[in-house]
Order: sequence, then C-alpha cells, then structure tokens
Amino acid sequence: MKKAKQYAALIVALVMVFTLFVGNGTAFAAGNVLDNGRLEKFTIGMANDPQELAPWNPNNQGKNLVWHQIYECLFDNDGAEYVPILAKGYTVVDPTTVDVEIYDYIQDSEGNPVTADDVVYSYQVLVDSGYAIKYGIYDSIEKTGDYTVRFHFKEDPFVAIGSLEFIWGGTAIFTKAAYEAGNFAIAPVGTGPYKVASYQSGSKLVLEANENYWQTDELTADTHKRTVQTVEYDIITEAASQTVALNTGSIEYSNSFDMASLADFEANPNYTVKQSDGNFVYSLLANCYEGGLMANEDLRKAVYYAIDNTMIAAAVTGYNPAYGAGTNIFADYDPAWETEENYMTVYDVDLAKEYAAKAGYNGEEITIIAMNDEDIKNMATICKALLDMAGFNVTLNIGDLNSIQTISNQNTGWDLYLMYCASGGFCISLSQAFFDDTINGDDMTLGNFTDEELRAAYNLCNTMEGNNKENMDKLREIWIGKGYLDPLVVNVNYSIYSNALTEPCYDNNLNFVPGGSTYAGQ
Amino acid sequence: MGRYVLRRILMVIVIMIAAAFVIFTILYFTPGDPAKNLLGASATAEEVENMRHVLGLDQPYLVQLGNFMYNTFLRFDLGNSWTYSVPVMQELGNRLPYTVTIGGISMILNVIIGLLLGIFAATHEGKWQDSVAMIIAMVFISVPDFWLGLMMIVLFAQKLKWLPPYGVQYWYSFIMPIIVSSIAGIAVNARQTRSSMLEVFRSDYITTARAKGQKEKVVVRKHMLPNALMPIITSLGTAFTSIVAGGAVVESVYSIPGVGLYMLTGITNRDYPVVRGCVIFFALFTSIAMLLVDLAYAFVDPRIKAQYSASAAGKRKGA
Amino acid sequence: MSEKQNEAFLSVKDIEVIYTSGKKIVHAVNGVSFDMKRGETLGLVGETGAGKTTIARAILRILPDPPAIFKGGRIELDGVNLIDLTEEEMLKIRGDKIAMIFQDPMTALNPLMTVGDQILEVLQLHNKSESKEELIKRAGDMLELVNIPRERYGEYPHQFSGGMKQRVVIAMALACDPQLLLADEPTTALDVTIQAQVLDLIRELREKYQTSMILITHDLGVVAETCDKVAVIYAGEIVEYGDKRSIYKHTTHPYTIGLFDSLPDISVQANRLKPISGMPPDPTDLPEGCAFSPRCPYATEECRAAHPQLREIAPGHFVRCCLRGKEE
Repeated sequence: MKKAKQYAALIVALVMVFTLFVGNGTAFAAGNVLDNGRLEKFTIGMANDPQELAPWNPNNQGKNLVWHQIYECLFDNDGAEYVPILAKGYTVVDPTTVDVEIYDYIQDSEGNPVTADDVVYSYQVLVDSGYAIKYGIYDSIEKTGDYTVRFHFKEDPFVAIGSLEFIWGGTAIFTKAAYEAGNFAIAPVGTGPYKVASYQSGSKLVLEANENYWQTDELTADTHKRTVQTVEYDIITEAASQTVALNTGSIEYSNSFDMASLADFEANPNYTVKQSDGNFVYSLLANCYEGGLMANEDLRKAVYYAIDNTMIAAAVTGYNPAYGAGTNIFADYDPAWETEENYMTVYDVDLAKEYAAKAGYNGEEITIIAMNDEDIKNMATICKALLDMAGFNVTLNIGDLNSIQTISNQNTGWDLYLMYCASGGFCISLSQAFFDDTINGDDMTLGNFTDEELRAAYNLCNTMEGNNKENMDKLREIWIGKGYLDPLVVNVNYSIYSNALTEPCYDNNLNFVPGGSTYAGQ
Repeated sequence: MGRYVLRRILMVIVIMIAAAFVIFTILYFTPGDPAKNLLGASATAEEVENMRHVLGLDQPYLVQLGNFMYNTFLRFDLGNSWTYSVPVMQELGNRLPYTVTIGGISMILNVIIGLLLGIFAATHEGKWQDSVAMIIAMVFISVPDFWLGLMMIVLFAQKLKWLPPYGVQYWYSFIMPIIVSSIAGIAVNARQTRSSMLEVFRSDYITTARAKGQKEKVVVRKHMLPNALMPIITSLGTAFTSIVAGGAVVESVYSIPGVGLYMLTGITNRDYPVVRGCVIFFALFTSIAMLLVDLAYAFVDPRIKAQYSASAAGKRKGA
Repeated sequence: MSEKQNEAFLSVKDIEVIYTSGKKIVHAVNGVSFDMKRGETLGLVGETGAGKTTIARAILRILPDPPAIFKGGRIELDGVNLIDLTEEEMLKIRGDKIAMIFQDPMTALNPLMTVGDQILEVLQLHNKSESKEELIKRAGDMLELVNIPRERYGEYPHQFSGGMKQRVVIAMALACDPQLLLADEPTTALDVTIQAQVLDLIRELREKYQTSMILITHDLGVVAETCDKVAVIYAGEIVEYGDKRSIYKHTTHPYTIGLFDSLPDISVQANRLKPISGMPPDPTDLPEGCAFSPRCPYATEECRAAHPQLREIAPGHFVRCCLRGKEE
C-alpha cells in the first residue's frame, strides 16, 4: 500500500511538472500592430487542403482562399465589370481584337520585372497545361510592344456575360524566369500582395506580405492591400476540430465550424459572428432523357410540388429556401421572385398527387443521385421522406463526387440529381450548368433536354444587353413552366472571428481577404 | 535459412508487381473522371477531353499499363500527383515520418501495455484482477477512435489547455494521436496475450518447471512467455501493417499530414498516381512486415526455423 | 501402520484433496496414509481417475491452485511437515529433495529450450554456489548417465524421439540427487521395448543413488518388476496395502482380485476378457458405505451402510473391506 501511495505521488508530481513545460496552450492574444501599420499575424482555419499552388485556376476551396493573394491577373472580376489590376485598361480594336496595356513597373515577389513577353508566356503555359477552362472564345495572344499585348477572340467578348471571367480575371501572370527556375506547385512566385513563406500540404500554409509588391499604395485595389504582415492558414478538415481551435485561440477566423456551437459564439463577447448570403444554389435537376421517368412534365411537377423547400431549409442549419436559380447577392436577382407562386414556393401534396395521376405514375422507382456531403445527404434524405409521404417510390443513390458526376453524365441511371452550383456575379452564370447545351459535348443540357425556346431565352439573358428583368422573367416562365429544375435552398455563409478583426474584406467570390481587412489598432 | 530469406525477398518483388497490376486495373475500371475533377464544373466537355489527353487517359489500356509498369519498376518513378503536382515519391517521403512516428510509437505502446495487461489477467485468472483487465480491454476496443479523438481534444485542448488541439508543431502535439491510435491495439494484444498465456498455462512443461523448484515469476517469464509469443507475434504483424494503412481517421481529426489522408484524398479525387503509389508502397511495407514476422517466428521457435530451412533446401533437391 | 515414526523417511497421513468445479466438489483423495523407508519403492496402482497423480502432486505441493484445494493431512519428509513450509522453503525442496517424472514425455519438455539448458536450470536452482561452467559440465554428465551423448546438449526436444525425451526428463529429475522420486506413469506413453529400457535405467540409477521412489502406474506387470511395496487406490482411498509378495500371492480385496483377473493371460484359451463390472463412482457423489460396494460381487447390506476402515490382516498387509478385513 505504501508503494502505491509513492507511485501516485510521483505521477502527480510528474503531471504538474509536465504542465509547466506545456504551458497554457495559446491564450487569446490581442492583435499586435507593427510599426509599419500592419497586424503582426493572423491565423485562419482552412477546411480544405489547397494541395498545390500552381498558377492555374483553383478547383478546390482551399486553393481558392489563397490563389488571389499570391497571383494577380490582368483584370479582376467584379460582377460583369473587369477591373484593371496589372493592366492599365483595354482598347477595343475591332469586335474580336482587344489591346491591353500593362504597367511598366510590375515585378514579381522575387523582383523579376514583368513584361509583355511574360504575359504571353503565362497564357501559353496555361493553355498548354490543359487547365485552361472557359477559354471557349480565346483564340490567341501576341506581343505588340514591351508592355502591350493584343488578344484575338473568336467572337465579340463583350456580348455574353462573363465570357472573359477566366480569360482575363482568372489567368495568373508570372515571369518566365521564375517559372522555369522553381516549382510553383509548392513555392509559387506571383505578383500578388502576399508570397508563400512556407507550405506543408495537409498541415499549414504561411503567407508573408510581399515586400516587393509593385503597385503604389494609392493605386492598389482594396483586395490587394497588405494589412497583415503574416497570414497563417492552418489546415483543419474536421469542423469540430476547428471549433475547438477557435475556442482555444489557435485560429482567429473560421468559416467551417460545428453549427451546434454557433449560439455559444454569438453569446461570447470575444467573438463576432458574421452571417451573409452565400452564392450556392442547391437544386433538383430532372433527367429529361427520352424514355426516362422524368421526361414526363407532369411527373416532374408532381415531384416538385411534393417537396417543401422551407422545411428543408429549416432542417439543415445554414440554408434559406431558394426562389430561383440564383441567390440574392447576384446582380440579376429579383426579389419579386420570392412572392411568386410556383412549385418552389408552394407545397401541396394533393396537387402533387393530381399531377402524378395525370402523368400516369404507377409506383415506378424514382432514383435521386447526390454527393455524399453531409448537408446534401440530409437534404436528399428529407426529399425522399417528403416524397415517400406523398406516395412516391424513391431510392437514394449517394456516392462520392466523382462517381455521381459520372452517373449524371450518362443518359440513364438517374432521374433526379440533387446538385449545387455556385458562381461569381450573375444568376445567369450560375444557370449555365443547367441550361447551356453546348458545354456537355452532346448538344443536350446536363438534364438531357434540348429546348429551342429555352436556349434562345438563355442566350439572350446571357448577354450584357439582354440581361434585364423582362428577359429574365421570360426565361423563368419557360423553365418553371416546363419544370426542368427545382431550386431547393441557397446557402448562408457564417464566419466567426476574434475581436482582433474589426472589418473583414471579401472578394468577388465571397472569399475572405485578410490583407484587405481592417484590424483592431489600425 | 539464408536461402529461405532470399526466396522471401524475391516473393516481395513479385507481390509488388502483382499489386501494381491489380490496382492499376481497378482504377482503370472505377467510375469517375479525374480530368473533370481537376477542372471543375465550369469546364466544357471539350476542355475536359483535352485534359484527359494531357493526363494520358485517352490511350488504350495496355499502353497505359505498359508505361506505368515501366516507370514504376524500371525507373522507380511513381509519377506526379495530379492534384498536388508534386512527385508521389517526394510527397510520400514528406508524409511518412508523421505516420510512422504515430504508428510506430503506438505499436510499441500496444506491445508493452497489451502484453503486461494480458499477463496480468492471465496470472490472476478467474479473480477480480482478470475481470478488471478484460473490462478495460473491452472498453478500449469498443470506443470509436473518431469520438475518442474529438473528446480528448475537447478535454485536453479546450478545457484543460494542456495540449494543442491539432497540428504537428510541437513534440507534444503527437501525444493525443498516439494514444488514440494505440487504444484498440492495446485491447487486442491484451486479449490475445491472455488467451495464449492461458493455453500455455496448462501445458505439462510448466508443471515440470514448477516441479524443479522454479519461482513462479521466473516460470512465467522464461517458460510461459516465449511459448505464448507465437500468436502474439502474428497479431503484431497485422498491427505493423496498420501503422501505415489505418491512420486516416486520426490524421483527419488531428490535422496530421500523413500517408493515410494522402491516400484517402487521392481516392476521392481520383488522383491515380497517388493511389497507385500508395498501394504499391503499402504492398512493399506489408510484405516486408510479414517477412519480419516470419523471421521472428523462426527466431523464437527452433522448430519453425528447422521447417524453413527444410522447405528451402527440400524444394531445390526434390524438384 | 505399525512402522515407527523415526524409521519412516516419508510419512503421509490422512491427506484429503478436493477439486471445485463450478458448484460441484470432486473428492479426489479421501484420507490416504502410508509410510516409506529410505531406498524403498512404493507402487501406487489404480484406474485412471482414482487419485494417484493427485497424491503425487500433493506431496510436491504443485496442485493446480484454483480448482484444487488441499483440505488436510500431514506429509512428513525426514520429520519435517511439508504442509507447514512456506512457498519459498518448498521451492528448495522441489527438484532437490523430491523430484518428479511425468507421464507424457512429448509435452513435458519446453520446446523452446535446449535439453541441456533444461537440465542446467534445475542444477542452477539448487547449486547457487557453483559456477555455470561447472554446472554445464554436470548437465552433460547427466545426459551421459541416461545414455545420451553429451554433444547433444544444445539440441531441442523436437529433435529427440519419445524414449529419449523421457530419458532427458529422468536426467533432469535425478540431476540434484533427490531423496524421493515421484514417477507418474513414466512408461505409459512409450512402446514396450522402450518401456523396458526406461525401467531398467530407472532401476539402475535408483540402486546407484539409493533414491526412494513412488511409482504410479496402472500396469501390474511394471509393479511386479520394480516395486517393494504396493498400495491399491480406489476412489481416492487405499483399499489394499502391503509388500509385493502379499499383494500378488495373497490378494484379498475384491477390487484387487478383479484387477488381477482382468489381465489377459495368453496361456488360457478365453473368448472374452473379464473386466470388473460397473464403473468407478462419480467422485462428486461418492456412495455412503464402501466405495466399491456397487460393483463388488460379494457386497452385503453392511458394506453399503458402513464405511470400512483399513485393517491389518497379516503383518504389513492391510485391507479396507467389511468382509475380508475380518478374515485372517
């Protein structure tokens, strides 16, 4: 017994000594503003691993957050506008030729000067890599002077909305010298306000303010400022872990946390909870392929009327019901849509059964495919439950993104696809996934239908001139009338951050820009 | 005996080639388009097709297989990850130390604590110490590691602030992941040790040893343990392989950039080079682990050693 | 029982051993007593399950502790009651003063230790002052003694045949020159030719070292060859006890008679064997009176009612029987 007591005492002593070394974890340190006016350091929780930092456009949320801080393009997208950044402006020579002049004092983060040669080189690299997307109207680029280039397009780029979104606003410019010398995937060299100090994939990405930033303070756009000296992104994939990290002060900003603890953070004066409308729309897309169940318009509407968007939004935290193929942050969104009466706003099981009877539905199995994301899974389950209640025979097919995408690309094997779409400035851009029949390579939309009327209306709305309330309403009439898709919910973005941050700044894609934000003490 | 080892090493190479072939074929037939995954939803069908060409996915099966086998086994080049744009070998090299640290140390803990717990239970068979030890083992093996990981973070990182909640920055960041990884293994080892010890318990040579006047403690150590070791070594072999393969959950919860998560994200992203590289690496690791286990058998039990030498020699003579 | 205490080298008195199996109690040994002189060989004869091995293990105090419980009795070796000794003191006795040879040589040796080291172990335990080299040499000597070349010291048990393994076990048992050797059916697992060899070896060594021996067996032929005294065990009791001549020539107890009768005799033309009818009693539920009464052809009411005591019917010849115990 004596020995046991001795051991116990020893263990307690060791534990106490241990805590001395370990310390108290990171206490919530107030931001420290340096002499140059910048906040010393800001730590952000990142839910997705950026994986690689190459200059092509990001297809993952993680890379999205940092890409625009490291690289810069000729222009930034702002709704339908192109804001000149590296370029001074553009001159239209003729409908398919545009000249662009860049500043003559641009340099990358290592001090290499950027010339027209580098601009042409950047475009070439991107096209050759295979990563160039939405480059449909791009034909070629040529150098016309030390700091001027000429673009050749296949059609007038200023007609359709967003046709230069990637060509001008999503193509990074970098120097030939830096690209050939280094490995941009892990150590990129761009012209942006920040450069990568260290990157360990799966763990941490640290950005340092670019001391060689080329632009003068007066001309620097908001999202290209450097109000923080060091930005650290800690890659934490689990929402629950991010919540803990936020609590202990290890990270100071998070937009991917455990929704259940939202109330606790709202009540806590050390944190600010920001809620803003998102740019994601979750919809049920019908497979109208001939011979399929959903080729029947009445059956489509039957299904839509049997689903209650408000219930789905309420059940899955962080969403609002959708009223159209877009959210209210887009320029061409019309609040009047919210009071319209259609299958998005009306939930009527009897009406649904009427339509089903008209369609001659006889209990055939309806397959809904969906990605295995937690929220989407929940939405799909609720849809199934509602449809079951209304007398439909529904099966869910949940899989990982790739498998589901493969199925959705086929003509058969699915009836409804619970998918999500996001976009930059316009509802119509978001609708491209649903209504554009040229991108899938088989002259049919993703939902496997070809509708002349719809195509004409869509193309009209997709132009700068044609995008007005009248035409958008006409487009809506068509697709709601025919029931091609049923937007369910739109997302709400939540972010929680410490009091070190006073005014957060967001870019065109709703990404948080630390360098453009204002902090306590500034 | 040397001949036996040589034969086994040759088998390792065969296994790796077979594994490479199998994983390549499986990936080839798995639904999912890596090109589409890389470009995202905004890309047109044409652009996706172009990317497939760049990735080499539009070539016939045999050509792709040939290139892959040639690169892997003759040039030792596992290729570049499509999503990370970094050579797979290099990334594996970066990530392996974390996974091995966690896996290795937790395996050592498994062995030591599991063995001690099992011996403790076996030597007090039927009494309350045995029940307590087995209940502990049962609790350990039932607790889901995901839940335990998160609970520990909440307790130790948030409430007590003793340990960092995630990451690999300090040496003590590894404490929680190691504990969570080893829990199930301790339970398995404890139960395994207990049952093999009990079997040995009833053996005649134990009675002989006691009849010689040997102290009980020494009987356990010198006579029981070595004989009970065989099934324990087997379960250690499987534990060895789970060092690399089983870490994904712990790595995800604690944000550890290890090999488990690497392979998992490779699968979700249809990043073929990563998946292939990881599988081949696992095949290599597992075969070597199995070889070590079999050699350990021979080291512990002279009967098995004789068997190996006989089979290695006999095959040559008889054939 | 008329032997004086100071002449007896081993004196076993009224030992009782039970096994607990779940709720049932198995009465394995029910009041066994006997004495032995130095250099004597006592044969314990009986069927499987009669309790012979339990008696031997009780003497060495290596009964398996959870199921077995030593309920009472005295075991005196050279005047010292072994039951009173602490475990530490008992460790010194085991292997040194009392040694045991086991039944199945195939499993009696640790498969992972060399045979030499196993003999070395018992030497090291009881000769702490000697050097290891010296003891290794002695282990080699023991091997030679049992006709195994000392070069085979470093070989493992699986490299030996059954008979040779048993010889190793004998070497191990005799290594420290014990005063008492407990041989538990040492030849049962061996074939007849090897059996003869092993028995010869045991006898040789016994004569050389003057070791007393308790030989447990169910083979009456072996008993005839090697033993001085015989005790017949039935249901945990001695039912007949005496020197070899008395038992073989003046068999008294019905059970012993039954045993001898059941031996097949080649010279006699017989169609069937003559077993003892019935089965040995259930040790959890022993009969009230004489344990053998259910099977005894001469049983009377008295036998079934009263439990007979051991009675001397001739000098040195004891019988436990209601009927025969009275005869002269």
